[in-house]
Amino acid sequence: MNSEHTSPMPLTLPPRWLLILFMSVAFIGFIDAVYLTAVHFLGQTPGCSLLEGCEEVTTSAYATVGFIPISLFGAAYYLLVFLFTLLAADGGKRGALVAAVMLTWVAFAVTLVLIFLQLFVIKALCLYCLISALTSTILFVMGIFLLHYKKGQSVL
Amino acid sequence: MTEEQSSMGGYTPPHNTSELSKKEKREFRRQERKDEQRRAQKKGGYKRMFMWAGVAAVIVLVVYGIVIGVMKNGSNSATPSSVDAVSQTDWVKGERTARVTIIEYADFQCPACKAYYPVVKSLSKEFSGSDVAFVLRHFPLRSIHANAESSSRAAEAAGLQGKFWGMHDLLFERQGDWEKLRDPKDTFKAYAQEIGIDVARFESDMDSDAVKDAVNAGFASGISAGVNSTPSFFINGNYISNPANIDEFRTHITNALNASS
Repeated sequence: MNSEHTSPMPLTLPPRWLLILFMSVAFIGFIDAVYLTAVHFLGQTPGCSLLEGCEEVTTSAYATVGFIPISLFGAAYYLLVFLFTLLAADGGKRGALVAAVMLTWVAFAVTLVLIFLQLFVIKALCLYCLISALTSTILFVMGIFLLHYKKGQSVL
Repeated sequence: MTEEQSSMGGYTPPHNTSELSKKEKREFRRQERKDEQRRAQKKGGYKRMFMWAGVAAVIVLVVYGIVIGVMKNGSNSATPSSVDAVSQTDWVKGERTARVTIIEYADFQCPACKAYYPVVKSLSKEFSGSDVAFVLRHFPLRSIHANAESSSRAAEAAGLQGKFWGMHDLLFERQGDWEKLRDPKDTFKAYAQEIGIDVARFESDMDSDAVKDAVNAGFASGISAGVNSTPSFFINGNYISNPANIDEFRTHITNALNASS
């Protein structure tokens, strides 16, 4: 009788599970970026570790913009993608999903630059930075799919 | 007004809808839908409010957890505890019988070690050799620094001709010149010439078993002490977390001197 009232998501949005998956990837990226930011501000005086090259990457000249670590921008980006997608899933706001997906384009471009710097300039790879590169790439690919999805398909 | 009537938001439906005209029936159904929608919106509004509050709480908890975790990890990362005493094979700046001994495990290709190099050098000039001895042990991080091993051998080989600290200084001061070279040997030979040692012997010593063993011994000593990063400092055998600045380092040394007097 009242199904039209209990389903807030309009037919133009992808299925909820897909949005939740998108949000989950963004949240993993958020945790990773917050960790790197916390290490930047609270961690010990950096040294070189036997196990990984994170110190070389995170203490390089490319790791900060002024005094702000790039990871903080990353944390803000992942949080925005998460919240925009939640807004889309909860309130059926298609514009919020489009905004989230557009953010992933910018982030993917930044990711390509950062991976290039790690491989060819700093010549060291940081595991946590690679996790972030992976999540932003997944979000970018999923974002294209989500935008394409809304054009004709819906499972609702 | 009956209970059913009150739930309709004040609208009183007629007892028998069959008596109504089509227009009235439409109005009745429209009003019913409106009431239903209002109730659903009210219920949904609370649900959404709780959901967003829950999301905000989870985000805050996650950030808090990570911050606490990093702070805790920072204070616990001082895994090394104690280290072997200074031996005859160690490279020492100062007297072996000094009251305070500072042992540094270092990798010449490590940027952090380079950052600490002027600090340690300044402190070694500030304190007399009879009070404080500075020791350097090799801890080449071969897995992440391609030229760590060869630079350690270069310092060791120069040491065989009495110029360990001269090569040590050049390696740190010019780290940027050789760290990314595919084969830094020619650069190291140029350094050997600069510090005035026999270059041919230096080249041959760099590949000798004695030099390789000396570098490996330093690394093994670090591993047995629990060292997992460079630089790692020990004062009188006890590990200290890397001082944030020269003043903090100086305080460590002064405390150790006071304790030994």
